[in-house]
Amino acid sequence: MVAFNTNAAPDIHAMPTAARASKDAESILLGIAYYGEKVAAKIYATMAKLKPEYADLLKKFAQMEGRHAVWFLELAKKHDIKLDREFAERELGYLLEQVARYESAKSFESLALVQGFIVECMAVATYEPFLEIADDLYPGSRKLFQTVLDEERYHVDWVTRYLRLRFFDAEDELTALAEEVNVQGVDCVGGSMMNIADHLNEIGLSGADCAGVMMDEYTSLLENVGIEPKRAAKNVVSLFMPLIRKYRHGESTK
Amino acid sequence: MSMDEQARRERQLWTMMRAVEAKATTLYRHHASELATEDKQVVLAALEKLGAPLQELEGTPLLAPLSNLLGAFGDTKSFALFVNGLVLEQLGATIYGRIANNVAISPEGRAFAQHAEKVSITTRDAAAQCISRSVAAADIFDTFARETNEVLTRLDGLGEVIDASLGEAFDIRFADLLGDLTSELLPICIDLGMVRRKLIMHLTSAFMSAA
Repeated sequence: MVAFNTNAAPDIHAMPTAARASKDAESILLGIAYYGEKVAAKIYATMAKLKPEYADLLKKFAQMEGRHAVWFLELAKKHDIKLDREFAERELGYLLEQVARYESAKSFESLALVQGFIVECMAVATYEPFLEIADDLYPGSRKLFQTVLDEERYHVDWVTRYLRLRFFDAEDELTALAEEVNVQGVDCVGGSMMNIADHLNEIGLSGADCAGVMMDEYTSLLENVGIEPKRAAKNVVSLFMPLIRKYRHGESTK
Repeated sequence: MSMDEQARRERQLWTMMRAVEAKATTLYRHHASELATEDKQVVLAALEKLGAPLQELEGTPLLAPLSNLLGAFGDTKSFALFVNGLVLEQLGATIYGRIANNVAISPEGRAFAQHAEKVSITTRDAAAQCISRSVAAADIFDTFARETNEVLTRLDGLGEVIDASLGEAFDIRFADLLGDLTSELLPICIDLGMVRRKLIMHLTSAFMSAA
């Protein structure tokens, strides 16, 4: 397991600035990254309350996510980018509603699937290809995004181990839970991926490739915790297809 | 929905399948004789009775997207193997499989669908074997991506119309069909040496860029 040095915050102010292609796209993307990280911190903090035996670790996850948000905010300030709060809130409101419902139901496992798998998959699917252009867009920022990506993967690893153990010999229960969570979770987070796809294209990534990576990452994670591979792929793809259709028609998913 | 309307829509469904199977059979005969089996001829003959010539779809929303899809068909061995043999045979198997036990379909149609599903699966497997034998492993993904791209970009356009025209009558949702298609194709393509992530990225990219 990777150990992270929490004092190793990158010095954002020492990084040079660069001319950029699309400030609107950057406002939206950095905005959803910032507010998304804040929501992630909130969800891990909620999970910590529901499982006191894992509270220390989950609070640490929440702190990591909160720190990512701070870094993104500093990066935005340094590059004079106004984070698009309205867009982010529209995207994340639906997720927060789902999270509140699981919190009321004290469903730790549902929260683990939504945050630890679906949300993290979206993060991984965008941060990973972004590494290739990070220094072009925000000189010196690659290390920051690499650290964020490594920490997101660390969270995913823990959630994978937890779910494997929790549902050991209970794959049917896990499959039913994942399929229930996916209906709103994929619709919401996958929908956000569709809504940022064109903005990803604008900054030099491929929105379609990011969406493909997200689908593959999530399907692989479901397989890794014991869901039958064909069933996992069938469920994830069939939930993504209506979102892709909306994207193609230029419709927002929210 | 009236019995007449239900029967009319079932005939439209078979007419679409007939048009695709007819094109596939011709392609197999010209380019992939291993797939031009007696069983495929039997399937086509049955569809010629259950369905109608394509012109019968005139005046319906189905004709334009179906013609658009058929218009993307190539005339090469590689197209026959990758698009018809692998992708569309699997899609056919998925459709036949879903309607084989659907009481909204006539008993005759259901019996046919059960048989056609098996034939499509056998043909798909034969196509995979042909690809494995005739295409260099290093070229398989690139060939798959090149040959399937245009058809995939046009496929969901047809799917939208199928959802609107036939979805309710036969409880078919194209998103579910594509979920089935992908989940069945992935292990076959991986066995052929394709990388799963690249494959999913290709499918996503094709569907997102669809015309």
